[in-house]
Amino acid sequence: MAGRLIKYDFMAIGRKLGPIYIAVLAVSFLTGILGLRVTNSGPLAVVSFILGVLVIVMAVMTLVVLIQRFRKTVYGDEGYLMMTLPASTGTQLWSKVISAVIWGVLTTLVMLGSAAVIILMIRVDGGIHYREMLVQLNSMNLPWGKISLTAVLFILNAIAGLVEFALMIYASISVGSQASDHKGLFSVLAFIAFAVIENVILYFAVTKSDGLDSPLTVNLTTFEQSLEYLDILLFASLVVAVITSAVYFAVTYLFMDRRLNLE
Amino acid sequence: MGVIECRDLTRKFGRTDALDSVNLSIESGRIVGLLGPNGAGKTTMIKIANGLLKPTSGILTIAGNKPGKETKAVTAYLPDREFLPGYMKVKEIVNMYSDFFGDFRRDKAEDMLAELGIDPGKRFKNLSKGNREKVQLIMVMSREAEVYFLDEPIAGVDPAARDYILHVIISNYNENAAVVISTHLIEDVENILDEVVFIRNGRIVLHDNADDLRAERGKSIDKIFREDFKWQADL
Amino acid sequence: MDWNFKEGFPIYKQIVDQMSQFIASGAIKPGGRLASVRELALDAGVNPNTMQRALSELERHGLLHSERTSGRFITDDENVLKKLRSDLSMGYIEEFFINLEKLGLTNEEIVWAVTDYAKQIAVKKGE
Repeated sequence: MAGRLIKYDFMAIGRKLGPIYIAVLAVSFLTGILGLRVTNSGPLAVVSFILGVLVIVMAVMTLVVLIQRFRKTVYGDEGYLMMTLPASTGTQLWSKVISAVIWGVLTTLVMLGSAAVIILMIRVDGGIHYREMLVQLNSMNLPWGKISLTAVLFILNAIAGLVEFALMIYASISVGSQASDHKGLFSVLAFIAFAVIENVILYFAVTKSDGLDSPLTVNLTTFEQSLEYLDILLFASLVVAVITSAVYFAVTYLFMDRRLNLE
Repeated sequence: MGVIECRDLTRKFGRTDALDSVNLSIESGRIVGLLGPNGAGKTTMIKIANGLLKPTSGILTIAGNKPGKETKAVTAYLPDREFLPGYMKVKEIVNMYSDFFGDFRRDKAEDMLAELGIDPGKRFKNLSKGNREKVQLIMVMSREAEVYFLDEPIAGVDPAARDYILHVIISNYNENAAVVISTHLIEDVENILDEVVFIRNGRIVLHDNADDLRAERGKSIDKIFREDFKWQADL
Repeated sequence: MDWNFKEGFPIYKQIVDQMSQFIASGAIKPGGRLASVRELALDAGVNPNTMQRALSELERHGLLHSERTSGRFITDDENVLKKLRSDLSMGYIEEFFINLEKLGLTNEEIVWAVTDYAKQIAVKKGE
């Protein structure tokens, strides 16, 4: 069931984001081509500017489309269809979270892809010498195990951050839906309120936690020790993200389950 | 036990009682008219039955279960507004229903669409209003559910379309299913009803077999309703 | 079939009456097989349960009988049909008398008016 819900979310969102993804990648390709001939910088500047604008538009659109999709299918007229499907509220909410993560990741990948396209096409200073890079990396005797762990933690954090952000938005939309008028405005207010509460809690958590450093001798003399410290920070951040996500999930779930109040 | 059971069902909104201790039992194989003025509680009851609202107190069960995942699989709901995604093509909507509902009969839906000359390749939002209403009805009635809730199925539709809709409801009749029709347009609908339920201010004021009621009062259900609901002030 | 429902009377009774007339007049052939409850209900635009109730009553009156697997059949028993026609005729005559009495005619005047009318019709037909 979750799979089917995600599939239809995907189709609905894809028809809106698909075109802009293509536009971004196409313009990146164009930028790459223009960049090859560094003789006339005029068109390159224009196209780069367009690309910059498109990337921003793409990021904003991703957010907007996800918000619209949630609002429309849970609290709007399509709620009469979506919320009467034979799925539990939990499944519905999970599928919405997963959709948000999918599109957040896709948008990020397109951004990276756009950069990659340009880098790969432009050979500045004769281009990137991959061979030499690899040789140098190998000679540095890097602790690949540790680096992988840090990388994994980093990615998990990014995803957890996405999940938390999506749920924070969903919770705000849910709170806003309770208003009889100006629901959008109230959703924004709810979002701000959530952000404020998060920061207040964070402030108290940080200022009240003297002695937090003691287990860690902040001894960052070696690269490995720096990585360890980073790992601990990332892990703590991950835990916080998971807990915060759980809170927002619970809030959204309660509204979806008990205070749906369509129309 | 009826396939739809309400016991002391109450739903408050702030200080208003949208439903006040409603007791109702509806058996399978009946087509029941849920009749009452605006704000009487009809839509509230239907929303609770579909899991879109929770009761303040009391119980509503569908086939013995409280509204949830299991009941949604056997309950078909036609709300009184447009609820299908406008951007989808009609055939995509058919696919979607087929995907989500195990009791959806695709062949039935396709036959009805063909019968009405509705192009499956057209996007829902590009259909005429009448056709949009018909498509929604077709999707709902092509499910072999145990309970159907039709909220104002014939309002805002031309008379020929009304006939078609009533035709579909009759021909869909199944002794294992109950159909609840909530409407103001009693005159057009009363001949297909087994039973009628009058609801006012969140309370059931009457629940009777349609023909028995006609024999008893010597009037059409429509006229009886107008009589009983003449004075709208709180009694 | 040509259904015509009036308001204020139980529909199943109206179905019984109208079907009796269809049978008596031969619009539904005696001995013929009746369509299914669902088809009849669709045709009449009524609830299938209501139609079922009517058909059961018609069975009780002996106008219909059901064979377990082959469905419902209209009776071809001449005695039953004769009685039906005679009952229906009586019903019309009664209604007719009541209506004319309301206009102030006596029984004799009614008989005279009827005889006169019948003669006129015969003449017209002869033309």
